[in-house]
Amino acid sequence: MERSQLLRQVAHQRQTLFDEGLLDEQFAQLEELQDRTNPNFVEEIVTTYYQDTSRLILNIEQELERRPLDYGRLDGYMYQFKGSSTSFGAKKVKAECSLFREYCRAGNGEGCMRTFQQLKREYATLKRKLEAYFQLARQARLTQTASRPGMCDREYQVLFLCFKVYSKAQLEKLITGLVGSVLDQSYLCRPQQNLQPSNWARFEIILGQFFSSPTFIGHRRAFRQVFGLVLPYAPL
Amino acid sequence: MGAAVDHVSPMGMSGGSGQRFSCKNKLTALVVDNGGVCQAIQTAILRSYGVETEAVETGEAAVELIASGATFNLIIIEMLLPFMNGPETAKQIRAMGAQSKILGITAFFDERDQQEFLAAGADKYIEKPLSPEIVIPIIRKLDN
Repeated sequence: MERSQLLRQVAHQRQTLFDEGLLDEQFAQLEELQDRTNPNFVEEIVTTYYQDTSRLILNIEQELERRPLDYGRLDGYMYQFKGSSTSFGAKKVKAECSLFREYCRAGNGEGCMRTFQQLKREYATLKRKLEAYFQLARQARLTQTASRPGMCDREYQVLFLCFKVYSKAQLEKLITGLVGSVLDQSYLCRPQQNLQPSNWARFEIILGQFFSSPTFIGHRRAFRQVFGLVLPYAPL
Repeated sequence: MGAAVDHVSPMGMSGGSGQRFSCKNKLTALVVDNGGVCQAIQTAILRSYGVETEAVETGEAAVELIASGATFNLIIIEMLLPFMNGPETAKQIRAMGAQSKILGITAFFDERDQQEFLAAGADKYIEKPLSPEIVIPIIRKLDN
């Protein structure tokens, strides 16, 4: 699949998770915590979330089979479930946790069981769609790596060329051209869609600093950062 | 200008005004939470703001750490911990003379729990998740 098409699909699939109410803003906050020093943060959190919640589901299932129901224990398990789901950003699952707890506090066993079945359905849907999304995202990353062998080398070659040959004016023109060509690409209908929000804002800050930097070292550092952010999205 | 670029937070978390936020001074925090996801996320959030953060799973472990001499500017304590609950943990930490800012955190807001936590010495009590709107003002205040 063409890379631009893949990127569009990844962005669309991600947006669907939010539009369908499966995830909320908290998940977007987690994505912002992921960067080059912590490149697998989101998937690690997802794994931990599955570990925490699958254990809790098992515990709750066992409790719901006991008679009489121990509402205190059920309440405790659901408290943990809600805490994890809230921190993760699992919106629909979190809502079912709250509903379950209300039935628990009312001593309504049937309500608890019914809500728990719905919770498991929402959880299974979230898990399925997240796994599909991450699989596609991994595919897109592999495509990026495969299509850009020696990206670091190329970056340094360009840097070397630029700072050996180009004046500040020529560097400004180069960066403006590079940014322009990225923004003009038809597959980037909204540039922000394919860049992490934090990266896009950072990109603008760095550009601003580059154009106002009085020092050569400031130029080089800013240029490198701009290049690192923009290059993955530049045309092949 | 190059120095200004260096001070931009690598995690890029923004807070309220849209500016990148990272603490200027060395700040330390302790997260006390037995939930794997919650602990990992709270730790990552604080570290993204430049706060050196440790994490433990129980109130006893937190008390032991502080009794051993460790000091923290900020301590975030989950309400429902195994054995020693959040308020009891806060009480013991305060009894040792710790001046840390203590933030009680819970999955379900409850007024009685809030009163219990605050009476035990917590400075604030919030419902999860730990959001930039809550944390950044606290860190800013500690940083200044």
